[in-house]
Amino acid sequence: MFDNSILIVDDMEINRLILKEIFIKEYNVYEASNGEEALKTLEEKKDEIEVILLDIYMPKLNGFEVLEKIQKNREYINIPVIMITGDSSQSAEIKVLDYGARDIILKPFDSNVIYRRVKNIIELYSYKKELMKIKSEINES
Amino acid sequence: MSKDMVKFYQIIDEEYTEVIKRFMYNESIYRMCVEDFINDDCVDEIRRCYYNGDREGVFQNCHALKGVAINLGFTRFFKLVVSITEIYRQAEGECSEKEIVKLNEEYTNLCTNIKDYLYA
Repeated sequence: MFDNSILIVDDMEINRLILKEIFIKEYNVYEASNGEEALKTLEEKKDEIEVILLDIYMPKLNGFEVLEKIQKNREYINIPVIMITGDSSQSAEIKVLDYGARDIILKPFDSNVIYRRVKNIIELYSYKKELMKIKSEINES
Repeated sequence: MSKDMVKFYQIIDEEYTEVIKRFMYNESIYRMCVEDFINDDCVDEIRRCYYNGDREGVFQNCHALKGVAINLGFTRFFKLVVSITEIYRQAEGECSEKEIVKLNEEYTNLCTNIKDYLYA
């Protein structure tokens, strides 16, 4: 078991396999093949998952619908989400960020770029969690 | 295997090294994905949906297929899928039967070539 966990959500197995291969040596990797499965895994592993890689077009809740549910849930809202898309247009990027995603990954995958982006986001998230903990300790005292 | 696949990618004007890099140089994962691609029923589904007038079905299957095609470095096939996807992204309109036939032909040729080199 590693310290950090990633949830990969994509209906295409090949995309999950590529992404898993990038992270499997350093992170615990959970997989979901649709939006419903993703929310179920998130419920079970919410304390462990530090970043979600989320495809947009999927059956049983698409990426935007999943993201909307994450944003509405106080327990998940801080978990960073990176959307996966093949659409490199500026409007698609703006829509993804407007929905509350932290970043965007474009297909075809560039393993080195994805690895670094995810690593940076996990690092920032761990600092954020630490700050939130300190803040709540201050509020309690 | 890689030597044969290098030749295969040369035939389709692509670089095998660029593709395998995407798979973190793990040939067994790459092979698994290529086998998934040749056994996938997306193209059959696209045809079925097209002839049944199921626009959403055509779009969903094309969308799934284009991500796989580009990750495997099948750029020419990818462009064909993209052109159909973009038609179905709009609220109305549909591609011609000729485009569906071409998609099927390209996919069949690609699969035949892959099998020749992958199992050489």
